[in-house]
Amino acid sequence: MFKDIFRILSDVEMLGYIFQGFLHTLVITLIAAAIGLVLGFVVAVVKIMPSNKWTRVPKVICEVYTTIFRGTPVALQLFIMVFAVFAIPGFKPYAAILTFGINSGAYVSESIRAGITSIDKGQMEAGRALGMNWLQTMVRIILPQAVKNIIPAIGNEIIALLKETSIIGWIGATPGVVTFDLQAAADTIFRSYPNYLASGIIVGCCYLIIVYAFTLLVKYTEKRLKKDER
Amino acid sequence: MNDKKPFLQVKALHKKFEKLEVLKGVDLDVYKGDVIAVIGPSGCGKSTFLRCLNFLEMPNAGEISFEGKIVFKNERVYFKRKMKALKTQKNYDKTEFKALEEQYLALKAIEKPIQKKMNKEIDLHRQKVGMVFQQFNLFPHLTVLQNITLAPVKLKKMTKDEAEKKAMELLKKVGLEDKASVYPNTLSGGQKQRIAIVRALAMDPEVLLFDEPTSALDPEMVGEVLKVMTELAKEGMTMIVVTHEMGFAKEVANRVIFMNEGVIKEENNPKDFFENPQDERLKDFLSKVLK
Repeated sequence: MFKDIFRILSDVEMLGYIFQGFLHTLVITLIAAAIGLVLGFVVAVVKIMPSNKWTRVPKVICEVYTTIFRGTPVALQLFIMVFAVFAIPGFKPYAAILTFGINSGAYVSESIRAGITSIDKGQMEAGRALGMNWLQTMVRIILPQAVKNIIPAIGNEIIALLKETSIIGWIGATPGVVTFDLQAAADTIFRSYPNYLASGIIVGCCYLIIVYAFTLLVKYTEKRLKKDER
Repeated sequence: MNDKKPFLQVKALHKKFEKLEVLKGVDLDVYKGDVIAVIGPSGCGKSTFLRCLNFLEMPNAGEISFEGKIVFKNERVYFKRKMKALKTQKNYDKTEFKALEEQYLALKAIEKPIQKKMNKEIDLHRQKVGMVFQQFNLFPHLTVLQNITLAPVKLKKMTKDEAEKKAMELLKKVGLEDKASVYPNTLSGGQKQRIAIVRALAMDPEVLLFDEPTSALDPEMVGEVLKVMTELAKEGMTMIVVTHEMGFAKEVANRVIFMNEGVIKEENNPKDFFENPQDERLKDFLSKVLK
């Protein structure tokens, strides 16, 4: 086994695949996470807005969105989005990344919503009682406090997303295309070196490195935020 | 006192939570400089009443005028209810229904614009009606000074320098000027509540509402908060105080109100209120709290 690992790592072509996979996994995750964060934030804010006749319809839409995307497997969503909804030639990889982003947004919105509602409602009342409107209170009082609760949850979310992206190869991955991620690299290496344990360990370590680096980043951010509060 | 016009006037205020009717018609005239103590058993609606005055709770029916202007008015709801009740009868009188509907629509024409205006100006109203909460509700992520200056600066009532100067003056008044740059979680309950009072005062409110300001405090810290409130009262601040501190009601307030079951059962000056209560429930209540 170690011999195989060593042989794979000394094969320049294989190293190229690993490097490509590493890069593509990162790119896919980062773009999808960015989409997820923006979408999740908007959806969370819509969900916690006070109900009135203007927010009723958006609230229902957001509710339906999270229910569907949290309630069905991401692989199914991927196939429907890529092969049915966005069945445009050449658009496949982007549709796939978009799907991960939209899927992640559903989870992120719940994390953000939970983080915001965890803030004592007396805080909103105090802000409003001073004469600030809902948005001012949200931005100046609620969100700065909620961020501390939200960051760890979103960190988890992005780690889960990173690992979920490993199915992107299912829609077809060839070297050079964005969909050629770490998992696809492992599959490709397997064809030249038929020892799945070896390629699996190599790719697994790559995933671990990304996740661990990211975990450190989240922890650091958390610490920074705590220090601000003293 | 009575020759002056009340500057805050409440008429037949009703508030329902789901099926639970909390306020069943509260009437109150507040004059400039009044210090009104509101007492009553828990669950009688005193806090809800207070929260209706700055619309943290939206009343269901009644009328509130502030500084001579009607800020809330809803009487059409009664006609709506009558119409509904009438409709449930099998052979209801169509002309009676028509008459009710006409009255309803006439009221709606008057009340809708008031409601729309109020929705727009609710924040302006709240700037004039300060509130102090039982749980202080200081902003934990901001320093004491930022807590006090945030709203006045954000709402463009003052520049940052003015607001800070004013905050320091007020802090000095409550004896906490050395706490300006600390965060609230380093303070004791009594200190927090004094800061909360300063925060409300920084907006220059016309009236201050106190929602059981000393109920969450250790007994030894009640005094320092009451002292601040007493000073405010002496300076002529208009205050409505929901409280269990009978001493404060007796010594500082000029009017005491007993609320029970969603209505004001008795109102009097403190002397007669405590020495000569009329309402049976009030007698019972006082015998328990005064021991």
